[in-house]
Amino acid sequence: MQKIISILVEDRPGVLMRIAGLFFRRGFNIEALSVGSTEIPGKSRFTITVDGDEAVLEQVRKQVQKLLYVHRTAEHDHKNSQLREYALIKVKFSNKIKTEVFHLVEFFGGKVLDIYDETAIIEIAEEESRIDMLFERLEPYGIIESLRTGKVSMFRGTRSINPQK
Amino acid sequence: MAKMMGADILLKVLTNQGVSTIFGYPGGATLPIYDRLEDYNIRHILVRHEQAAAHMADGYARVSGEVGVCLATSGPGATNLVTGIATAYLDSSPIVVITGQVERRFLGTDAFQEVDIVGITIPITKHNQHIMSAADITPALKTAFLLAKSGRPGPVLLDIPKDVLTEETEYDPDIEATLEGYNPIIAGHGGQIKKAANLLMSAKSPVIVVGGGVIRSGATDEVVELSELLSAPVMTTLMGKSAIPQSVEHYLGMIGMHGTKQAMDALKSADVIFAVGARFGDRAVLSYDKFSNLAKFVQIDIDPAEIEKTIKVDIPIVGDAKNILTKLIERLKGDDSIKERKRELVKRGIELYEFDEGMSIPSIIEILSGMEGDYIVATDVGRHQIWAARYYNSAGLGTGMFLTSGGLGTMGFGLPASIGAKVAYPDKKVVLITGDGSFMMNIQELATSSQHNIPVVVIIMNDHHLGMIRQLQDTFYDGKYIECTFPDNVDFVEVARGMGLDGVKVTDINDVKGAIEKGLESDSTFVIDCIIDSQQNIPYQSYDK
Ligand SMILES: Cc1ncc(C[n+]2csc(CCOP(=O)(O)OP(=O)(O)O)c2C)c(N)n1
Ligand SMILES: [Mg+2]
Repeated sequence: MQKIISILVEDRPGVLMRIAGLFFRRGFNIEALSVGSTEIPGKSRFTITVDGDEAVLEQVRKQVQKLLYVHRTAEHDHKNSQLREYALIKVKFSNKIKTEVFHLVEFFGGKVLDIYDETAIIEIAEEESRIDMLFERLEPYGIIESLRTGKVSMFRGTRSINPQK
Repeated sequence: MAKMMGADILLKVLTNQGVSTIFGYPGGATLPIYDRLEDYNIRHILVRHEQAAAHMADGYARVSGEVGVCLATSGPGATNLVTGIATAYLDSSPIVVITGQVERRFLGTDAFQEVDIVGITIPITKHNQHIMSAADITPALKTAFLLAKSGRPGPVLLDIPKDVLTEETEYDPDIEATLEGYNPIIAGHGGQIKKAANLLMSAKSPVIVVGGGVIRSGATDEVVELSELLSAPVMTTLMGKSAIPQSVEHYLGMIGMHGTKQAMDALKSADVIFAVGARFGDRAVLSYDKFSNLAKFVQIDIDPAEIEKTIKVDIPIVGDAKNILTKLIERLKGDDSIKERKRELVKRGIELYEFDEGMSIPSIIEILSGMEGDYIVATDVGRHQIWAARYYNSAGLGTGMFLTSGGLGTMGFGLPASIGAKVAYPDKKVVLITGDGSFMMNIQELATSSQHNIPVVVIIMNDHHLGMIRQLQDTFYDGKYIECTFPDNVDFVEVARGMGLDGVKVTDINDVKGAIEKGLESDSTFVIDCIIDSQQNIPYQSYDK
């Protein structure tokens, strides 16, 4: 089962290695990982997407929670959180297909960022399934390169990973 | 504020933490510390191999409950510590490890004797960190001691570049440890304790399984009181071996692969298994499926990550064992019906085992067990270790005074751990039960013991075999013995003599007692080379019998 875990950590060198090592040890393949700063000075937030046995995952989460630099962990799902992913997609482009591509991108909530050398870079921040759909629709035009950040997530309502809130 | 060198700050903070002994071995990267050592009231035990320094710190910590400290240089000095750190980690022993590192400007350049010891030891330390400026030494060291000792104890490693040790900075003894994200749970959850009490009150045949956590928590009296209150038999894991006094008659011995039949029978007839500070390791449980189906489970552990790691638990309680048991007992005593629960308790029987007479390992352990005295007993790893865990049942065995590498099963642990224990308790006699294989793995520490005059009685169960390997090949490989035999090419007594010590070779069971007595009276380490003429295997327990 796919799980999305947020981890609030002290922004210290090596934190990533410590966390990743614990997942690795129990045989989890991290599907996606994103990390960045938060509203709390000196604290970063990881979002990790993993797939695997629920009980073992809960165990890994407890292990992660034990790391000195880790302050909080939390688990997200579709009900309790807003889940988003960001993607950049570079496709072959010409004026001939301009209208359809723009139309498509707009329909899925994306944006054409750049047009250069017969290519277009498209960005989209959406739910995973909608990004999947956009990929599917862009495929025929020829994808030159693409990337996805993996999910990031935030609790709905007043719940926060910030222990002060 | 006075300016001080990093090395001085380090030694000063160690002194303030109450450290009186460091086990170490010098090298280029740590020389700034050695250069300042004589100005501080710290005894340095010069080991002969860094692995032994870690085991000594570990042995010291296990018996005293205080943090043991070891020190090694960068590169090979640091990597030599790894086995010792892992040993302490798996048995939750509080040690602080200090390693030298190459100068900051060389970091990451594969400089001479540079190794990423922080990276290497992440999975085997409770915490580790680089110290990148002299100003960080005080808070990092304070944090290290606090972490090592509190919650679930464990090793903490600090890696310090050489030029940080020579850097001058202001020394502020009052800088606090930084432990923002760390708050071990000590008091158990009231609701869970209540649930556990109710379950225990309704249980017909509850049993108590005790692990090393009870020793670390100092909860022996509480466990015994609870067992009497519930008329519940008590068993231990290997790590819990010395958690229950041998005089407790309803202590049924050790569970697990090589445990006692009585313990196994009690587990099988239990309706509630109440585990305290025991992590349900695979050797203790044998089969997770079968074990899980035995009964309902209550698990007390200070480490939330141990709860349900391997076994589904009905009532988990996270916190300190002593704290939780005290509240639980209070609650049970408040219930009048507890008095009606008094049942006939199974007593620990003389186990019906038949061991080979003459020079067999169990015979020798039985002799040692019958000798009066509150010795610290250490083992190495192998058949002799398990025999010792089963049959060393002296009433003099104090809580936490049985030292063995349970989690990692590190051959070579015994001698240095014994030396460390002796440093912690100079007035107690330390007896090491070792094997001819294990002893050889850190035999060089005889020289350390001789130089620093730290006496240990060494009993080598010399079966000319890696006996445990032989047993495994007997059981699982049709008795095809491959590479488990040693020729008679080592004279351990001569080796001891060569290192300034003495010993005796024993070939007759009637001479064993005298030899041990001689060892106990000796004021230096005494090596008793017991030539074993039995290859008896240790019986296995199973759920089927
Ligand atoms: C460092 C290390 N290497 C290998 C092993 C595997 N091993 C476990 S027991 C054993 C034999 C131990 O022999 P000895 O010390 O003579 O004890 P005995 O079993 O003969 O009593 C071995 C090789 C181990 N536990 N530790
Ligand atoms: Mg042997």
